[in-house]
Amino acid sequence: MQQSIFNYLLISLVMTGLFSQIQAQDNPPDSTRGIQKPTGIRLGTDLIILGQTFGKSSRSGWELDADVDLGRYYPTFEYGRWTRDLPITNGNYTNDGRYIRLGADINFLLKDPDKNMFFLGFRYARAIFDEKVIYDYSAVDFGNFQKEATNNGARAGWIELTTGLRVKIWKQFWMGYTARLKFLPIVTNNSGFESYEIPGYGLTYKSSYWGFNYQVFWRIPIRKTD
Amino acid sequence: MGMDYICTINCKPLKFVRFVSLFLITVGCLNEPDCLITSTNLTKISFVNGKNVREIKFDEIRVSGLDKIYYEDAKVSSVQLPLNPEMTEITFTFTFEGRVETLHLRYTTTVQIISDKCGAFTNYSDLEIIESSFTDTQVVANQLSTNATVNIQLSVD
Repeated sequence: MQQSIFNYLLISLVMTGLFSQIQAQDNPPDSTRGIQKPTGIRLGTDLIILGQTFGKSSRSGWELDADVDLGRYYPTFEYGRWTRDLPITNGNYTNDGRYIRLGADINFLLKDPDKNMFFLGFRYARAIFDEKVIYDYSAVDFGNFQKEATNNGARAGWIELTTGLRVKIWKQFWMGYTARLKFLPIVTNNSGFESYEIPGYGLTYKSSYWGFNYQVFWRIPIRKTD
Repeated sequence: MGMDYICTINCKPLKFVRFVSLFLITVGCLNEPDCLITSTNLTKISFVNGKNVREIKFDEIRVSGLDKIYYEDAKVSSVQLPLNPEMTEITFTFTFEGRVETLHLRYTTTVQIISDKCGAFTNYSDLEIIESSFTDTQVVANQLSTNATVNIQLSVD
């Protein structure tokens, strides 16, 4: 139910933002709205996945985030590693993979002197991963078995709608969060083992998913603001 | 109600947003898995003569890879026989009414995990008849399931 409420809020925010963009086209041109030369690159990481890595979660990994300002538009690049070691009722499941997300965010705080951001955006994501399950099972008259199944080199893709904040904390140090609604997962795996989890996405049987990143960034200036 | 107060100029986009949101909420509520596992390695075979059910008194039925004898001196119109999870082919040998008939099957096994609490299990699917001495055969349902009534129908004169 919490996921549904979150989906509702995120979709509403993104759709309202998109429609306000369409309506804004009728307004006189504003120099802050167009594409401009970049003034800096922001590099960051996700603290939540790092917390899971150093905690006792079955999931661990890391993520590198980068974006560059082109006026109000921020092309983004995210790359991460995700591993999972999950005990299941009759065995154990492991997953080790990498993912990449490409997309852009649109900043709605156009006249903030510190370039703080409230943004809406989208991503296209791809993942490649290896997964393995070892499990016990019984078959009528053939007895009990322990079976191992692997899915090496499985690939997946999905789409995300994003929203969040980026706030300048001190000099070039920034913090922020990204909430993401992930959907349309498509998996290509080996026959014989249906993929269970996609790194960067989550469980394959969920047609939509939500994720949350709490991020820290360091901004590298490359040009002074006009 | 939540968005009505900001709908002062053109409400159509907001109605669309609301429609899309409710649709996604509905979809989101339907994608939780349950632990109802219907996987089985038992294939269900029924016997017919024309359109009628055919009851047969078997001397025995044997399954390749097993020493066990099935349906010894039993009079039935359908049987359930196990598939070997470690193989992809199996042969059933039916001895009845002074005849010996064979049925050679091929199938695929697939591993699926529903959730960590439900665990992993093996699915049997793509069931097909490779060879048979029966005059007429038909695969009715090519996936094994505890819900399936019949997987294979065999005609016996």
